[in-house]
Amino acid sequence: MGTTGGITITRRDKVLLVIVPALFIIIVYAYAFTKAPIQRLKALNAQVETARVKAPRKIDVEAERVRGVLLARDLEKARAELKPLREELGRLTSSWTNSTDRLMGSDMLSALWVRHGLKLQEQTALTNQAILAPALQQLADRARATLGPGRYPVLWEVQLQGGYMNMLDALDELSRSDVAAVPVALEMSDTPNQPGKSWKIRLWQ
Amino acid sequence: MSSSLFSSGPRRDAVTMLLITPTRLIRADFEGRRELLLKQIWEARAPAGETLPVLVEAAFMLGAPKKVAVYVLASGLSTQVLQVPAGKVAGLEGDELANALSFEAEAISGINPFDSALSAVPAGGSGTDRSFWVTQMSQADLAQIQDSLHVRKAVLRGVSHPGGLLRALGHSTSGWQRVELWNDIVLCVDGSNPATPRSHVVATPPSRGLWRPQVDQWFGALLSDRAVMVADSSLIQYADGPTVSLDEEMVLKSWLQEWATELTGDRTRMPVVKPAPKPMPDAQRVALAASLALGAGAICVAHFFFLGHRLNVLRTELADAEKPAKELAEFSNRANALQTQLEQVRSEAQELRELREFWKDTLDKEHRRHATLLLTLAQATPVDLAIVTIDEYAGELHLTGLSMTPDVPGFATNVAAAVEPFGWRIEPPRRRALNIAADGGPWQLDWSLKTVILNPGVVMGPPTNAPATVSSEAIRAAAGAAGAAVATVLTDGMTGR
Repeated sequence: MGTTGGITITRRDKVLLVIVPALFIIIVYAYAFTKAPIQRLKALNAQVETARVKAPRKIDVEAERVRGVLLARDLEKARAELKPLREELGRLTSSWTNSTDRLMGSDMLSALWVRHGLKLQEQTALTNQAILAPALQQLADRARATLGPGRYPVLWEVQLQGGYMNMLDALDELSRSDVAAVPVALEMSDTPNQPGKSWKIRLWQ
Repeated sequence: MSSSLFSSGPRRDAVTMLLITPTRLIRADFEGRRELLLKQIWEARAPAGETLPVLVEAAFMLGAPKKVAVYVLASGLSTQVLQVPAGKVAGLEGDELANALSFEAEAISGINPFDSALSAVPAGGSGTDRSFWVTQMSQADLAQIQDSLHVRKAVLRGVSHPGGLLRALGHSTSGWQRVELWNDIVLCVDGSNPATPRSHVVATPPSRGLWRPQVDQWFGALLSDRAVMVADSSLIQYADGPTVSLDEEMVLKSWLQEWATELTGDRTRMPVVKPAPKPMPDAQRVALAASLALGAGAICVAHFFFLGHRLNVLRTELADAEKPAKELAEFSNRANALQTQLEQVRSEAQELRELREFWKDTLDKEHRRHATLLLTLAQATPVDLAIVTIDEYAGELHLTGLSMTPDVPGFATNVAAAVEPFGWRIEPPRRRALNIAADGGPWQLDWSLKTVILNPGVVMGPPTNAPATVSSEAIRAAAGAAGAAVATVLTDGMTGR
């Protein structure tokens, strides 16, 4: 025990004086600098544990990767199959939408009527598509949606004069020819004072 | 006690024993690994009239100053057996017991209790009294000795009276007794029971013969192995029987060896006055506090960086732990996107395929529809029926015919069978009598062929019951029959070319 300026300092006080600064530093550090990092550590620990528990098996990851590879291969294959389909459809529709083909088809039709003894009376273009049969209407709608506006056939009305068998032969040849013209409606009537019959045929060309 | 890294056992600190008697100063150095052994001994005559601290310093300086633990055996110290009432010392231990005994010892030693450094060991008791063997000296002397040794790097471990060592000198397997004659005191040591030796102080100079009865009375029985040891040769004259003297080198060495062994043992049974720990200087205390604070700061900084490092490690571990899940999610997203694209492409392909088939099928049927209709009419029309008009609008076709009878059996059925694959359904005819003949005939019959909407988009094959193409020969054969029948009824035949 000692005395400093009237204050008695015990042995315990001396020990405390030695260790208090160090304790103060440790306490201040612990309070100010370790709370947040330790909380982050705990949170990270928990996250790591959770992630480890929830982690998928390696085989599942590999399976998913392989699925992607297989799908990519299938997609490539499907795209490869799509190309010829488009080309084929393009070929199918080109004869209906290509102006040169349509002009040639018109000439071939004229020759067809003449060849089968049918006299052409009048040929006009129709704008009213409503006269189409439902199946053709569907085809027209789908063609319009698929091929775009202006790339589908035009409806013509052709008035002819001739016999029943003439028309039958003409339609028979037309059904077997490559002419891009489809008869969508047919009318037959008698013509007073004239041989044969009057025919009105609507062609989708 | 310190230990060497490469030693085979614990290494003991070097120990120096200083023996101070009125005539001699002796320094004995001990060293050893497992047990202390006497290495060197110095001896000189003690100067007369000097104080104990001076004598101790002189004895220590007989050899070279070095860092050793020092024990001082000074025959000038006061040693005695105190008998005190048990109540006075009940519950007292350590410093409190020493303080209490200091007051009791003052009467004999003359040392002021407030300047007393005292060591006591129990020495039995009887009834209500308790006895203590005490050794006492001036606290000032003790502090002075401590300081003088400290200056010379040595550390004072204890001060004791050299008399009454509770050990046999030399080998002794059975009981032993020893009487020690010192200049102003006689001590008895009884080792009848070697495990628990005891001692007794007779506070009478050997020169006076009064000690013998007390000694005999205390020992009780005389053992044949009782020896007398004298501090120096001048005291032999007061001894009886076989006597050894510390003047003899072998006796001195053996005796010092036993003292060293006793004092450095785990727990000495001798009253050894131990110096109070030296208070630490303020500067040193401040330096120590600063060092501790710095150390604490360093530990905090290290801990801070450790936490940072640990955080980084955990972040890495988290990234590693989450990697499979992220990879799985990435692969799944990619696969799902590919799946969607694949389905879109397949859907588009299917749509194109259906359109292609629908296009082909529809155009094929439309191409052949009217040719087939005309052919069927030519084949199915009976002789008494003439088809006069055909009208078609928006897929609905009307046939108008003239018949001699109101019914044309089989006509509609045949036509239906031929044209149904092309999406036509024939309705029963509307009939109207023209009332030209007596029976009301001929009749005008109107058939409606309504278009049946086939399932759009369904790919259909060509009609199975329809001719693949219209045969010209069949047309001509049918036309002949139909034309003949109609010609009989109507003025102009419909089949004429």
